[in-house]
Amino acid sequence: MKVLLHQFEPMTTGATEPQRRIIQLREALVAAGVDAEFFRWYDGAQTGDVLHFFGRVQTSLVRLAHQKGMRLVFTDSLERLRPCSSIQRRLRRAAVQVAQKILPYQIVSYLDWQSYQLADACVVGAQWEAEFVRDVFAAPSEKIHVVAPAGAADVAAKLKALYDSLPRTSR
Amino acid sequence: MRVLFNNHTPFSLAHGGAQIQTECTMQALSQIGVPTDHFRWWDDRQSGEILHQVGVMPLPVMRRARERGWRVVQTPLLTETCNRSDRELFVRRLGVSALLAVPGLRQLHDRLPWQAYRECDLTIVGLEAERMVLERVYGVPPERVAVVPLGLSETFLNPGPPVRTEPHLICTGTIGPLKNSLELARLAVAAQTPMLFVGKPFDYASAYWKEFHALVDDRFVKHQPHVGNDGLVDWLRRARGYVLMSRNENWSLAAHEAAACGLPMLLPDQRWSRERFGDQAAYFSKKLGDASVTALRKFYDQCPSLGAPKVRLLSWREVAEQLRGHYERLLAGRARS
Repeated sequence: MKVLLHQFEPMTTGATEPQRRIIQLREALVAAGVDAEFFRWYDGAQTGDVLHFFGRVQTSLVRLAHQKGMRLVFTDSLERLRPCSSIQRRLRRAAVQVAQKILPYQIVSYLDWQSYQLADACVVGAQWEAEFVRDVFAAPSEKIHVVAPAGAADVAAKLKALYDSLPRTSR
Repeated sequence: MRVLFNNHTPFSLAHGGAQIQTECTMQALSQIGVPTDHFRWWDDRQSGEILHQVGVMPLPVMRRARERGWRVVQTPLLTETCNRSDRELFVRRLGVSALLAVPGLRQLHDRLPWQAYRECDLTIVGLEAERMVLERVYGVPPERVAVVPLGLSETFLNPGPPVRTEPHLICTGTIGPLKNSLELARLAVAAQTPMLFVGKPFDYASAYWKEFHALVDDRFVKHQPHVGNDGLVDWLRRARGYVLMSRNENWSLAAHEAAACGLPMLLPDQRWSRERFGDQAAYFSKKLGDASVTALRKFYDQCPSLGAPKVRLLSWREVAEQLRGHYERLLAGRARS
């Protein structure tokens, strides 16, 4: 199985911790026996079985990956959020639903909320984050996977199990 | 000066105009002495002065690039927006201004491309229609917008004289809903005008492709998968005329390639086509239906007496020279500030 790791933000000279983690994760995945590469956007011949995106993935990218028969996993970045109560989550859900109803489709599409339903798996770092994406963005429970950002080797082992558990094809 | 190119639509997932534009631009820049490289997000040692995004760069990414000391240039494809009516653009302008004026929506603003248009060091587009949209609708200062046409490869700039001996019209490009390939194939059958489609779909398993493929009868609807530039030039030179019926386009490399090969053209009546080909092309009616069947049949019948539009066609090298000028001005501006 080949996994392509992808994100948009450039590494800065003083790279942030999440960025460093992706680099270390690739090394750990390779050590765990996963054929993991960075996704070279410019390489039309690069192939893979799973595309793992870091950040909220664009819905259009999910569709493109599926068209090519790749499964898509994304690790959502919810760093700006804090744990919130069930009532707060319900209020946020209501806000999302109102926005979906009143905002033009094009604006809503920029928010990529549909990615939670379309992607094959959504990885979060804590149980409260899982509850958040489930309750606020309507991510299906079976697609949410909590992988605590522990050591790279531990994360890689859990991700390998996740990749292996995905259906053979996204179609 | 080193320019790093980036594109958020990976080429292995979606072939098409953006890929050609990126690859040809990079190659031509290198040929005129401007070093280029593909942006690699995982490489913190990659050096450059300018990050040129083909497509829209999300605002947080743009800010991160700036932290790294790069100037940011983007080439968005305003394919749909630049073809909207004046009224639609006016309404859009009101909506954009209102939404960006609402305080406390930073996360939303960060995800919308509009604020990124305003903050980008330079936005380069191919059409005046796109420049108009950026300035009037999105409020981008004129000094931060430049129009640079797209180029053509040498194969298309020197294709040899048109032959035009085949009985079919030709349509080139990806087979898909954005190109209205299925609708055009149905139109060809209805108008009884032989039409050769040259291109491949993004997805051979899609229902759209299957429906299109079912119409291929080698009489009115013919199909050739993508054949490379030399083969494409050969198909174009031999065709009777060129037809494009995309929902929207901006520059349309395919239409310019056909013009270079000496074909008369039937195009959708939109801003992009009027700007590029004016009254030198035939146009579909804005309303689809019987009028389109008539337009196609009339074009087919008149083709032998029609010539190709005479528009200026640039090489990628000429495009690269224009780009180099913009990059240099951008860096000179940074040196002054």
